[in-house]
Parts: sequence; C-alpha cells; structure tokens
Amino acid sequence: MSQLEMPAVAAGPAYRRQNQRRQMSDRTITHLFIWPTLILLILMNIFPLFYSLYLSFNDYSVIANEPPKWVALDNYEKILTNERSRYWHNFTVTGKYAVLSVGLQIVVGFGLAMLLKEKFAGSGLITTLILIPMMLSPVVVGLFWKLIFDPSKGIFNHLIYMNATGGKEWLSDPTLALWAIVIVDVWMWSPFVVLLCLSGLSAIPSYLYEAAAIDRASGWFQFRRITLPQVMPLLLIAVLFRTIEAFKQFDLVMGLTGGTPGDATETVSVRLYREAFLGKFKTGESSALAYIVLIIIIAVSNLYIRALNRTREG
Amino acid sequence: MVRKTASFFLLIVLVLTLAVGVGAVKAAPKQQVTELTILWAEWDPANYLQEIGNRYEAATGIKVNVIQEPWGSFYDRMAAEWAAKGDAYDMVVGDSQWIGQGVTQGHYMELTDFFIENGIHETVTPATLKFYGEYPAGSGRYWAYPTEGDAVGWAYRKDLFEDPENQKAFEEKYGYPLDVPQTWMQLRDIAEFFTRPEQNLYGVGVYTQIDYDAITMGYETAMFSWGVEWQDENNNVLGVVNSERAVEALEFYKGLYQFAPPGTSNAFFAEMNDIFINGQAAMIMNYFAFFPALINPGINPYAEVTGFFSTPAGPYGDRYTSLGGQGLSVINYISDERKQASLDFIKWFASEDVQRQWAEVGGFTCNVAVLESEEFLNATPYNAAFAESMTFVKDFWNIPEYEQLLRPVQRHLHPYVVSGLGTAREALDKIASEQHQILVEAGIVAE
Amino acid sequence: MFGLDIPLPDFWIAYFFVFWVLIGGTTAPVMFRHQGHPVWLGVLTGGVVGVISGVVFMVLLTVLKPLADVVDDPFLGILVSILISAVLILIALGWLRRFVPLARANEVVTLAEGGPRAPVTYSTRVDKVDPSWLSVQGIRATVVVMLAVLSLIPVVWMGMTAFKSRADAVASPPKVIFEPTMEGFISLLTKRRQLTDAQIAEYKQREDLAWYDEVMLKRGQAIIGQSDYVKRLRNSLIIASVSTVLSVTLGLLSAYAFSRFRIPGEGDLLFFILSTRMLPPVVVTIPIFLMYRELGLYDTHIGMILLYTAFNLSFSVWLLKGFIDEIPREYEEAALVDGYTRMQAFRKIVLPQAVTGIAATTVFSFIFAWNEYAFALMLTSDKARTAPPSIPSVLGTGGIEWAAIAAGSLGFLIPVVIVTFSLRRYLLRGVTFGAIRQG
Repeated sequence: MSQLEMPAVAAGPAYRRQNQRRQMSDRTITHLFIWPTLILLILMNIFPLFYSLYLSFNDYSVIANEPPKWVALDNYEKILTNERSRYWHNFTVTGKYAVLSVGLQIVVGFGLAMLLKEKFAGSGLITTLILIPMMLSPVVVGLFWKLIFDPSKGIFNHLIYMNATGGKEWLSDPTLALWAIVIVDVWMWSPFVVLLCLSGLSAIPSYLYEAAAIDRASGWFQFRRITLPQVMPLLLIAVLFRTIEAFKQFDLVMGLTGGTPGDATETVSVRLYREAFLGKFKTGESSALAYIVLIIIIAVSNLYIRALNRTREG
Repeated sequence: MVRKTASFFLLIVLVLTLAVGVGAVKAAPKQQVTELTILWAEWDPANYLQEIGNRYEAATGIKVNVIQEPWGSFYDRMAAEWAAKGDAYDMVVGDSQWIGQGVTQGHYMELTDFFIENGIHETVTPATLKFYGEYPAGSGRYWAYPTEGDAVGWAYRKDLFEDPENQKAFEEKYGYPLDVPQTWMQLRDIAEFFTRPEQNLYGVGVYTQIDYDAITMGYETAMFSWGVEWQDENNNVLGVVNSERAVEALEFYKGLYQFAPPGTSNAFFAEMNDIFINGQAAMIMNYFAFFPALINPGINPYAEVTGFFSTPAGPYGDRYTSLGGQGLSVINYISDERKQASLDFIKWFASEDVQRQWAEVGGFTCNVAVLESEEFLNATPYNAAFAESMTFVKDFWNIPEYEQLLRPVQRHLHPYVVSGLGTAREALDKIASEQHQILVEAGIVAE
Repeated sequence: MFGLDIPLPDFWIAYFFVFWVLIGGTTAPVMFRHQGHPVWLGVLTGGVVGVISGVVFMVLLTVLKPLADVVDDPFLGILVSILISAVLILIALGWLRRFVPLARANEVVTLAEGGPRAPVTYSTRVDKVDPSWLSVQGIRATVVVMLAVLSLIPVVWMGMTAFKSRADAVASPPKVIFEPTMEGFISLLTKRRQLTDAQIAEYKQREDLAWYDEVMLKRGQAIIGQSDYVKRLRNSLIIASVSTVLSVTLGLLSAYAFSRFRIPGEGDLLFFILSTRMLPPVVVTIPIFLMYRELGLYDTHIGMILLYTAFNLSFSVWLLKGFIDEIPREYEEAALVDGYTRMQAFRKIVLPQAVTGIAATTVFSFIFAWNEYAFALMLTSDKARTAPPSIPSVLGTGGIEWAAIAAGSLGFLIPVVIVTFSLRRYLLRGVTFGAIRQG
C-alpha cells in the first residue's frame, strides 16, 4: 500500500485553465468514483450489521408480534455457557471441517498446479475443465452428491469398493459424514487453489530457475528455495479465502447431510440457519451467534493477513 | 466543498428515490379483485390446484394463482408474511399444525359463519374437519376448508407377498400365513423375512429425516398404535410422552429401521418412494399424497404389483395413523373485497361437483359424498385404504407452540433410531422434560 | 477377465488401461525420436508397451491382493497396491528405455559433444531437448489428464442422470447403461397432471400430440403448462449479469480512485470494504429482510441486484485495485500533458490495460451472483426468485425427480461455463495481479 502515498498527479495551471469548462477536478472525480461504492456498502452492510448487533442483545423473534426485549448479554452467555444447547459442538465440527478441507484443498490444489505448470498440448482445455466443479451451485452439488454417496443408489461406493454391500454408509456414519462433506468440498474448491497457485507459479521469473540450473541445484532445492517461497503468498490467500468460506459454508452441508446423523455434521452456519429460520426464528439468539462467528472470522483473517505480510517482507 | 457535499447528497437522494420509488409502485391499491393468490408447497397437488384454479378462471374470469414454495421454506415464508401482516397472498393451504398459530395470533380469518351458512362443514368428513378446520378442538369454530386430506399408509410388493415359495417359507418360520399385516408385530416379522441384503432387498422403509417433522411422523404412527398420545387431557406430557408403552413403541420403531435399506438414514417421503421404485423395499410407509407415483407404470416398474394397506393395529388393540394434509385458509390481512372473493372461491371449490373434479385431477378430497362413492373407492388401488385411514387419524400438537414442541422430538429421536446412541428411555425422557419446559413457559401447564 | 481375479471393478480396469496406453504413447515416441527413429514407430511401440504395462499392472494387482487384504479398509488396501504396482512398472519402463536401439550412431555422438552440462529443457528445436525431461513431461500430462477425468466423473454422472427415467435414476445398483429419455428435461420445463386410464386411452387417440406430449404420456401424464424454471433462469440471468456489470463498474471506479488519488483514511476504508465480505450471509439476512420489506424491495429484481452488487463490490475493489496499481502512472501523466482530461485518460489509457483484471473480476462476481442461494431463498418469493433455491426442490410426482434436477443443474451450468471459457485467457493473469497485491 505504501506506493499509494505518492501525491496525485497535478496538472499544470495553464493546462488547467484551458480545460476548466469541461474538466472536473480530481477531487470531484474521487468523490464521484468512490461514493457510489461506499453508499451501497453502507446501506447494505452497516445498517444490517448494527441492527443485528442490537438484536443480539435482545430477546426477539422476527415472526412474533412483540417488540425486542433488552436482555443485555444473556444471548451470548447462553451460547457460550449453556451445555445443553451444544453450541460448542457446532464450533468443533466447523473447526474440524475447516482444517481438514482447507488442508486437503491446499495439498490437492498445489499438487495439481505443479503438474499443470508446464504447458502441453491441451493443457489450457484441461485447466478450464478442472474448474468446472467450482462453477456449480453449492446447493445443487450438495444435493447431487447425496445421491452419489448413497450406499445403494450412488456410484461413489461402486467406484471405490467392489460392490454395494462392501461399501460404507458415508452419510449416516457420524465420522464418515464429516469426511463426505470434506471430500465434496475438496472436489469443488481445489480448482480455486489450482487457479491461484498456477498464477503464482507462472509469475515466477524463469531466470531464477536458470540460475539454479547453472548452480546445479537439486530439484528439491529449487522447489524449496524458489517455488515455495514465491507461491507462499498466494497459498496463504487461498487459505484465507477458503477458511472464511468454510465458516460461512452452509448450502453444501444443508444439501448433503442437513447436519445429520444426529448433529454430527452440523456446522455453525447450519446451526445458525436452524436457529434463525426453519420455524424457530430465534432472531436475537441467532444474531448473537452470528456475531461470535464474525469475530472468529475477523480474528482468523487477521492472523492470516499478518502471516501474509510477513512472507512478503521476508 | 459545497460541490463535494452537494454531489454526495445527490447520490444519496438518487439511491433512496430508486429504493422508495420501487416500493411506491408496488403498493398501488387495487379495487376490483381480478386475481387470487394462493400459497402452497412446491409439489404436484399444487399443480392440480392450479388446474382447478384455471377452471375457476374460465367460469368467473377471476385468475387464480397458486404460488409454490419449497417444503423446506414453506413455513418460513408464511411466518415471515404473517409477521409483516402482509397481503401478498389471499389464501394459504397451510399444514394442519399451523392452525393454532394462525388462529390465536389472528392470521386466519374465521370461517365459522360462512361454513354454517353454506352448510360446508357438513360436506367434509368429521375427522378432517376436526384436524384441518377446527380450533380449538371441539369448539365448533372453523378456520380452514379441508383441502388435501392425507395420512400415513403403506405400500407393499404384491409379487413378493404372493410368491408361493415366500409364502411357504414364511409360514414355516413364523407359523402363520404371509399376508398384508394385521398388527405391527406381523409387519415386523414380514420386514425381517424380506430383509435379504445379498439380494439387495430389504423389509421396510421408515421415515428418519431430521428436518421439519419427518421422523416424528414416522414414530408417532407407531406411538399412536401403542395407545400413547402426545399429551393427557390436561396437556401434561411428563409420564405420557415417556410412558412405558411409548418406550416400547420407540424401541419397536428402531427395530423396524434395522430392516430398512442402507442410505435411508435421513429419509422422508421422496426417499421412501425411491427405495420402492428401485425394488429395494418390500414395504414402505408414506403419505397417501405420494402414492400416485407408485401406480404409474411409467415411473414405477413394479406398478402392476404394488398394493396398499392402512396402518395395522398395535399390540394393545389401538389402531391409529398419523395425519398429514392441509386446509385452505383465508389470510386476515387482505382487503374486504379480496376476502369476499376468496370466500366465493372456497364456496365454489367446496361444491360436490368441483370436489369430484379435484379428486379426478389427483387431489385427495375430504368431501364425504365423493369419498363414499363407489367410483372413488375403485378409482385407484389406494383409495380404499385412504378412505379407511381417514377414519382413525391422529395428529401432533397444533397449538401455536407446536414447532417448538417438535424440535426436541426430532433432535432426540434421530440419534437414537439411526445412530443407536443412548436408549429409548433416555431419548423420551429428554423429549418429555424439554416439552414440559416449553409448555410451562407458554403457560399451558403449571410447573 | 482372462481367468484372472482382478480386484477392481470394470471401470477401473478400463481407466488404468487408458492410463498405461497414454503413458506409453507419450513417452516412447520421445525416446524413439531421440534415437533417430520415425515418430510413427514410437507411437506404435508406445501403444504396445502401454497395453503390456496395463496387463502387467493387472497381474501385479492380483498378486498383491493378499497384501491389500492385510489393510483394514478394502479401499485403502487397493490404493496401496495400485501405487506399488504403478511405481514398479514406471521404474521398469525407465530402465527399459535404454534398450531402444540407435537408428544412426553418428548423430548421437554429435549431440553428446559440447553444450550445457545440465539437461536442456527449453529449446525451439525439439530434438535438442533432453529426452528424459520430455518423457517426464509426458507422464506428467498423462497424470493430469487422468486426474481431470476423475474429477469430472460427478459432472458426467450428472449429465447421464439428466437423461434417465425416474426408475433408472434411483436404480440400485446404479445404472451406467440405460435407455436415454427426455423425461427429465420435460419435467423440468413443464407442469403436468396425472391422467386416469380412460383419459390416457382417449389422449392416445389425439393426433396433435407433440413429441414431448408423447414422452410424458408414457408416464400417464399430460402437460398442462410451462414450469417456473424458465422464468427463474431468466431472473437469474438478469440479476446475475446486471449485478456483475454494476459491481465491476463501481469496483473499477473506486479501485481507480483508491489507486490514484490520496484519500483520507484510505487503509481503514479498504479494510471496511473487505470486511463486508466476511459476514456469514445468515447474519444479515434478517435485517435485510426487514429493511427490504419496508422499502418494498422484497422479491424485486432491483433488490437482489443491489444486494449482490454490494456483496461482490468488496471483492472487485480489492482485485481491481491491485491490478490498477500495476499500471504505470507515467502513461496517464503523459496523456494529461497531451491535453487529455482525467476522464479521457481513465477511459483511453487505464481501461484498456485493466482488461485482464476486469475479466477475472467479472468471472468471480458472476459465479457468486449466479450460484447464491441463502439470500435468494429468503428475500425472494416468486417474481424475482432465481434458480438455485428452486432447482433442489423440483419435486415430481411423489418424490425427487433426479433427472429434472440434473437437467436443471446442467442448464444452469452452461451460462457460467460460457462466461468463464470466453474469459479464460485473462483468468490466470487477472488473479495473479489482483491477489498478489492484496493485503
């Protein structure tokens, strides 16, 4: 951001006079360019944000004809301390899911990008084909994979096991169900990591490798000292985006398991949706939960951004 | 500086006008009623209603629009509309459990006088009127016209049941002939008998889904048949929901799930039909509303050999089944002209002739005359079982708090039945205590 | 197969044969050309070697089966034996390549003299490039292609399901070979009603039936009108494209301003803009729902467009700012000196250079707006409802119409694929510039 501190270009006075009638000043342009964006963001974000912050301190249901009742921190206390409502369970599930799926996406995505790094006949087509899962609607993906995972009607078991009877019940086994979601998420979003890594890899100047070749550096050395550091910022960005998305993940899980079996795969976003809608409409409590999620996301993002800045400087 | 501020305000004004302008256009008042809007869930019967609506348009010139909302967000959509006292819909074909909320919170228009004046309450079966139309129970006040009657019934594979080898083997093993089950015990035996994983055949499909009311509807079918209710006369749940018999019924229901095809761990009506169509299940439970697909040879390869029966009797002689279905209500927040137009539609819709057409296009009518006619009973293989079932239906709570009462049931039944966590007693104890808490908070029972 | 008890389903046998033939076909020609043989001989040999490797692979797998059984999970066991067999064969092939005979001995001698010590990997002359490096490239390409095939199986399966009948779609075990039917597409696009036997007979007499009527008649259904799918697809198109254009335009303008002018509190503003992306949609749905009701934006196209524009703006500002930062400002300065106004300079200098970034931003914004589900579900009802909330709820007669869902998803995938494919040239570069400069 530092290069931005440079003052804006000032045009010469003579030039200015000459064009005064039809030229707007830089300042006007700045306002004209920035305010539409800011106004839209303020309208669409600030009000909802503050309103839900306000609601999070209230006992309120959007479908009851009663005004919000101020309960201060009760909602937060309920979420953080009440054992029976099992909110901690939702956070554990989300954490596990985020770590597993983001980790695997990085491994798979980076691996694929390394394989795709060198161009070959048809590599452009293959790259675009690989991106297809990412373009599908998550809710459709969830629903359709439900059919694919089905132990008797789906192809998944038929592809990885001999037959249906030897297969596993992916979506009804509490441990496997989370893995099923992770598998789908990895399938769907590894292409995103591939894309980021590929752009990082293609930006590495080739003279670095040439120099390494002249020094007869080993392939491992080249990878560790040239490839990895150069791709690192992009990998971190991929991790950042995917982690944020993992916390927001909702349509995929909803379509695939709906949180079942029991609540084994109920991520915090699914829980949030359950509390906020689906006949419950606990608006106050769900707003509080949403705020807790938001704080976690911001904290995690900050950690990543810090790591990101360190890799850039170092 | 002035210019800067001015341009800023100009922009805000622009955005606001844009926003408000759209609202103003939408809120233009309507005098003459030329269109009626009915909200229903997104499924085939709604298409049938649209077709009936088209006939109404042909007859009167008033357009009828059936808006279909996915089942998953059907209640949310309506609840949000109620909260805003919105008039987007004139009528709703609402679930039977909604009526308490619709009435006590003033969302539904009272139809008592209209029914009595036109004798409509006498044209439908008493059970359907009681569950779809009346609130509070026994008060004689009506709020909805029973539109789509529905209950849980069973479909079975006649070819398997009538196979001589199966019959012989069954009689040898269980000591009585293989036939449509008369009791739940027989149903269990038959399910066990047909569970042959090596042939990819399983005994019975039962509801297990965690969302909305699915697994509850499945379990309560057994529970009612064990002579258990959701509450006693004083609306008390403690010792009722978790009574000895209820524990027995739940253990039995879990026992049935053992004979279900793999992959039905989160199953509801759609999955039931699927496992029947692909030949994995010898019997399934399902709402009658979903049976038309099973007698359709273009959809179900076993259509010719599919039979139907109504829920069998429990071990203590009780015989009940759980109710589905919906009644047509008028939303209270629409203008008087639109209310009148809606009543006119219901009057037309409730006439015997239109109800006959309703049954013909695929709707499950509640009209006594149509239901009793030979023509109806023989029209499909399941109509007889349907007519019989409608005489012994029971329902979940229908007070405004029904949704809250449903949550603990769904939440605690699923882990026990599907994953085998805990015991039936523990699950029901938890349900009873949480429901009790909800009822206490609602002021329905004392602490 | 051949009396061998291969522990793999047919699909995988075919899959691995293709794999080995591709390996042979990509590596052998390189070796043969290097040794001075014509390429066709290499391709031929490669094919033969590939088939032989495939057979050896299967034999190895069968031999390794007892070892695979030691592992608890049958899947993991097979995976391990597949990896072992593949590595063994690759090593064997690598060793075998030195037996490729020389065509003309003298040529190789000239090649071996002089030149760089390290293997040459880049050259305009193919025959100068190190052959082992080239064949590793061949193997690499083969692996990528086979993995891409693997990752496309669900999409292909979706395509197949779209043409299945109701019974075939839920068949157990799943059917790979089936009689294709258009039922799915027709159920997706129409509303139907069930006919009684008498009506079917009567219907069959009619002469004016279109082919789609005939198809549905087999299921005893009559088409009574168009479904909402087309309308919802149109809504999706309008909302997604307008909001994409808006968010990219607004994003471009503010990105330019942030990049070129000094703005007080710039860092904070930028963080504010990014933070709007971090909100879980469920957080803001209820307030937005209430707000929209008040403003009459509920269930309107404008409401959804504004919402998606706002949600995509943060992304597009960040992406585009990084990109505009890359464009040297000397160009504009020169233009300004030449008498261009700021606006002209922006239009004629900056815009053309920012095309890559604009394209990448467009793709991502479009994908988001196109597939968004949660807001669309809660903030629209009928008039402005987009396709994602309605596709999964295509309930046919008594159950999920998988074919219709698959058909709907395919139809829904096409526009986004078109957008992505037509802009794919810019995609890689666009992401590089945007992403590297973020933070």
